Amino acid sequence: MEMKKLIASISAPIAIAGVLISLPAVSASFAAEPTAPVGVEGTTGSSVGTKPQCAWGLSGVSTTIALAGSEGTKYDGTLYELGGSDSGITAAVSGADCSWYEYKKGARITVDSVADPKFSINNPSDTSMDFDLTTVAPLTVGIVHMCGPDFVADESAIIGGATTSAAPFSISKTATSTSSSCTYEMALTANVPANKSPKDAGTTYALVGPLLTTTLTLQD
Amino acid sequence: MKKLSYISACLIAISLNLSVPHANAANLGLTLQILQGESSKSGVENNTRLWFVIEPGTSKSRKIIVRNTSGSPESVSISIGAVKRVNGESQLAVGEVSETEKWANFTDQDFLLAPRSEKVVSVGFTIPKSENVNSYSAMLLVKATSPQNLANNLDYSVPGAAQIAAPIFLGIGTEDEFVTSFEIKGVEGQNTVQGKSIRVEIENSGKTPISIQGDVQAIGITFKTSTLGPFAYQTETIAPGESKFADALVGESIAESKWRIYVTAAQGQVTESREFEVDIRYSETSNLSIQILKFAVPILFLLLLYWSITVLKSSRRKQQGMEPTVEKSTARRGLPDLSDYEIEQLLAEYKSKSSKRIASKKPVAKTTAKKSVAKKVAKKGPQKKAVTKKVVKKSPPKKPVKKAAVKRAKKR
Repeated sequence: MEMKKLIASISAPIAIAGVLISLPAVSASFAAEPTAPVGVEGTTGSSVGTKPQCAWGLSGVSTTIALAGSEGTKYDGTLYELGGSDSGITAAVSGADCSWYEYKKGARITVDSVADPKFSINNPSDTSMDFDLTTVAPLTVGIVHMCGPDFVADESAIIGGATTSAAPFSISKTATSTSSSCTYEMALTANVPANKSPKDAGTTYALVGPLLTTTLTLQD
Repeated sequence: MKKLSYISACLIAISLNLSVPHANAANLGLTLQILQGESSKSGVENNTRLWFVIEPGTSKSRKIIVRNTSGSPESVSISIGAVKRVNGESQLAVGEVSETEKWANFTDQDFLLAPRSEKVVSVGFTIPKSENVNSYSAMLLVKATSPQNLANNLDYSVPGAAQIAAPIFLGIGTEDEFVTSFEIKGVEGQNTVQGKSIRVEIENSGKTPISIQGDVQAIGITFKTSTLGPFAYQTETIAPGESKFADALVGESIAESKWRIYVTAAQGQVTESREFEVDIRYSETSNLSIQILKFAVPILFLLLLYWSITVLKSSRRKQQGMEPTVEKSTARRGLPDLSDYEIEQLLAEYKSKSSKRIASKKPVAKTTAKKSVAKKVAKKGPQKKAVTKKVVKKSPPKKPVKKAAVKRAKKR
């Protein structure tokens, strides 16, 4: 009890001093009244040429990404692995000599597919080789870019399964310049499941996967 | 992580001896430019952002330029998408329908664009008279796909599309009902990746989104200086009711000391300014943690003060002969009183020590030890004795300690 009393008698003045010192710091965050600056009147007139307004652009997105299995192999009823890639996808500020003026914009790249994605030959009379992309058997998308530190990388770049969505990278409005540019590559892998029996064995089935939309979202 | 995923995907492909075909199909290229608006009195629409304030029963439109930057023709479709807010940022909500879609109209919604060509399209909203005052967020989506089906000659393929999404703000009501209003909340020094900066906090107190441009100027108080700056800053879009920070890069111009900081902030025709006297310290901790700390420290000190007062009061009561409340509560719970326990331990220790001495030296020392213990206990006063007895009776683990000490002493 004596010890407790001793600690209490020492800590009481410390606590009072602490409260007195720290409270003004709290009130300071709400303090200071605004003061309007003094305006300067004046008129000028001149004729100047202006640079075009900058805009973000997206290029190099393949209309079709081809996937293939091991060279010279065909589906034989066992698990069949497919792979393909798309390189040179670029998000860049368009125009070599442009200005953002007051309205600079940031950008975010996302890759999305439709809900419940699948590979299909789009023929209702023959769905024997169609297969769904699921969480267990997804379409995996690996993305890599070598862009500057202004482009913030998103760690969840692998997409697959029933809902496919990834945000590979973004650049903030403040970090954007008139020459901001980022190019990336995308590698796709998928598996044709085992134990499928083609209705028309010996022929080629052209299986089309889900539409992958690469979106550049402007950040005002 | 991304690199690893890509490398692993490629390694899987190589290890499986996959041919890894590169798309020999055409590439898509697209740009979207929003032309400056000029229809608004308040200035909310006079920018290159898709911000609309429309009275019920009327309509407004803005012009955009869609460019095909690729060497192949493209099928372009324009639509309105839904928005989700993630960490104060507008993001496209894939698969969701926007409430504003039903009011949207375009001069051209689906068209074919020749290679390296462009098209000017009007994007507008017509608001029914019956609509109430409200505000909405949406996305303008401009999507380019290939007009031809290039997948026919491939065994397995994944089609691709390029899309640009631009945020839309739609306020339904008059411009007077959508007043642009904001406040400069504070400034502080901040160490950023770019260098030393003055961080400005802006709060949107109006009903329209804002994207502030402004500058910071500084005059030394500790060391008198001329006006330094202006150092420009720009905020991300701030939704109504939200606040955001923007950094004005100052480098080594403003040293750590007391400064008078003038901040100006402009959104269209609305300009605000504020003066601060601050002790600039370039911290790397986030403003949020500083704010939390600012509130937590006085609370901790107050709690310490409360505890000290309670302890001091209870000891005073004890001295005056009143039963202390703290002791009451611990006794009720059956917990041992710490001070009494210490006394007991001291007694036991003392006894054992003295017993040792007795065992090793003369038998006369035994009585001396007993006497001294008795004297010590007697010095503490009668009420202490009573408390000791009470505790000894109540707490059985203390007895064996005593006994053990005595036994050890006897043995020796």
